[in-house]
Amino acid sequence: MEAVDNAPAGARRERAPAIWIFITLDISSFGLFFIVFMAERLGNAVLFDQSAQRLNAELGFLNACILITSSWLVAWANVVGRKGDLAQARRLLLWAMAIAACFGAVKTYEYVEKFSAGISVATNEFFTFYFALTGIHFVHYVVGMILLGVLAKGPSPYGPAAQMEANYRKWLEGGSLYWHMVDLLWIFIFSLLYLIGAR
Amino acid sequence: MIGLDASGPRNAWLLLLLISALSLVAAEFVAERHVAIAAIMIIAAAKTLIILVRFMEVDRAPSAIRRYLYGWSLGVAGAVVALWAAAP
Repeated sequence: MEAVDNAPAGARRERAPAIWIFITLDISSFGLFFIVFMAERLGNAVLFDQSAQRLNAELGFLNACILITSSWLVAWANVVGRKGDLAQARRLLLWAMAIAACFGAVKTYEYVEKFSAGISVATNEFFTFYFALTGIHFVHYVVGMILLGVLAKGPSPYGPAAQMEANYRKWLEGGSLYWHMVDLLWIFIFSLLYLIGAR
Repeated sequence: MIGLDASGPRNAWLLLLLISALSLVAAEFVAERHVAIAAIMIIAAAKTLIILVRFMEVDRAPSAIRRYLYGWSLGVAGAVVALWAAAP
């Protein structure tokens, strides 16, 4: 099960240059958001910390583990896809999606729990950030799930097989990078909202 | 670079799970707040670097983007710790 990459150095750069630019811009936006959150906390640290204690750090941790595991399966799919084993890559993507679906279920449970307790985006400044950050991240997650779903279908049957497979591998590279970004962003959201505030 | 000790994506995955658990332990059981916050953000930066190196294979990205992503991980984590410490 060890993933060994035999692709030549620079392969990803040749195959997926635009996705790196997108990732750079996207995580820059999130980085600014994180810093604005911490800057706003300066003015009302007590409120932010008390509000953060109403979040469930164990659920945040569970979601981190879910995304990390899903991300690993996608990385593995990408490696076997490069080797030409597209059937195995598709199976791994389906497993990655199945595990990642648990993230959506946990997040939905958290939102319902908050709304049931009368907590909404208007409750206070902390929860405005909480719903904005996790909501924007959730949109990224949904887009990622759609991408994984499309990739799990395999290469398009409409066209020459060799060309369609080459295109598929290119999209697999880009899609996997996008999915890892979703995982990476959750790491900071989890640390910022669930862990730091709980202290 | 953190993560290069792992022999592949599977080891990176196990390492990520382990240090994620450590960050939860730091948040809940480390008595000194400053130490806990520093530990949480150091672990967050480390996890980000492992994902960049082992899952995203950032060494294959254009060098400017690679350097930027490393800088982003460390810079945001550092800024969070600094802003937390600056709060009254």
